[in-house]
Amino acid sequence: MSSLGMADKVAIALVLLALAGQLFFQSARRRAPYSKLRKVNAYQSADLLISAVAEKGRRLVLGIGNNLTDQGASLSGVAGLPLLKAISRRSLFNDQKLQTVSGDGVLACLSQMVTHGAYQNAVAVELFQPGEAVLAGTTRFASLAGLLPEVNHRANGGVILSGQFEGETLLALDLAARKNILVAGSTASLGGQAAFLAGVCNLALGEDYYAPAASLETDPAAAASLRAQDLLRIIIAIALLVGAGLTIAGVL
Amino acid sequence: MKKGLPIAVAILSGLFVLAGLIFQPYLGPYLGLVLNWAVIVGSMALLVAIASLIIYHARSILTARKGFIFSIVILASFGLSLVGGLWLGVDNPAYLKWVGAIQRPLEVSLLGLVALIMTSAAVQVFRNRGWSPLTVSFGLSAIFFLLIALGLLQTLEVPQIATVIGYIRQLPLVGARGLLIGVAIGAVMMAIRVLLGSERPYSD
Repeated sequence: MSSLGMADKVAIALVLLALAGQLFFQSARRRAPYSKLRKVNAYQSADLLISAVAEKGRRLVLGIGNNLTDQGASLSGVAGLPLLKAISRRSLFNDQKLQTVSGDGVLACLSQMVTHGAYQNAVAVELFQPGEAVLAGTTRFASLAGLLPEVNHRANGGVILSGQFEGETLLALDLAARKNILVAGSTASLGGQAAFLAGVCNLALGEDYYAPAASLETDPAAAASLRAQDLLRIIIAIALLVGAGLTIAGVL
Repeated sequence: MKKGLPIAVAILSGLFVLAGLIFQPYLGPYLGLVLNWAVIVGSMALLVAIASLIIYHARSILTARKGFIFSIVILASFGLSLVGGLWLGVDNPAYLKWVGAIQRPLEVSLLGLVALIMTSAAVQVFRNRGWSPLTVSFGLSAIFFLLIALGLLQTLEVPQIATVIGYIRQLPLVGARGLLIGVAIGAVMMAIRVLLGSERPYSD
């Protein structure tokens, strides 16, 4: 423990603060977890898109990214799965089934488990088809090549991309725009965010990427997380400003 | 039990990895072992996903679904790569050259296409998103950084301009850091939910 540097101690303090915030908001807002909760535009758009696509009897494609276990594995790779859970529950009995595409073996398996679980919960497991959640490819470009035909499908009414995507995703966004298919997207990667901004896309930036379950009101714990992370963001912003001020003043 | 076991395993693994990072001198060797287990499980999951992909495309061919020709191409190229890898070994230079000679030109051509579409999208961003502080700053910074990258301002050899350019070049890094801090906060909150067992991305 004695080998912990200043940065490690600050990191531990932030994590403890985050934990305290999570527990506080989870218990304080137990009765009305979504009351006065900040909404993320991209997920609100995704919500409208899900309903519009279902009403028109069109198909919805959900891309959950192409990086979970390779190229620097991180938790941000699984952030698309809460969205998959939320959409699966709502679209099980639609005319056209939700098509999930992933670019990573583990993500593909997890997406199949989540989709299968949604059918199981609805006591309709016999309707599940493994083809509803497929592995598009095992590299960035291979998964893009797998995503493009899914976007190009004639029954498509909307595309939601939520996961780790890079700049080349712009090809899929451009294809969707040319076919007048609505797109909503969120990604943690900077290259992907630039592509989503340039393409026609309702985009979730930064920490909002992790808030699909809170915005779609499917997980009270996620709502508590959104409140806690907003508080943490303010604390960090103030700390940065104070730190910069003290550095300029020569104190630090 | 069926639902409780994966949650318990996820929480224990998460806590162990966290403890391993903090108490690295004591738990370091075990941390490597647990991460190796994760690699093995991940590889198995990849095999399962590939098997599922093969079944999906085989069904497309058998039922003559629209576009089944592409399924034949996928299965044929997969089969060739698999047989080549098994026969020659995945480290064989001839095998790597053969795979690279197909894969690299395809990826580079896709990148070229991305460059073209990115240029077109950068122009269309004003039409799609309208005139807003975001789009105006996007347009101005794109033009400014293009000018800097061309090196026209640097040819003037004015020290003050070089200093200003140096400062401006830091701006994207500052913005990127801001976004990454936000992403890190979100990741911390998600990790806490996983450790508390309230977020279960691995189950229904």
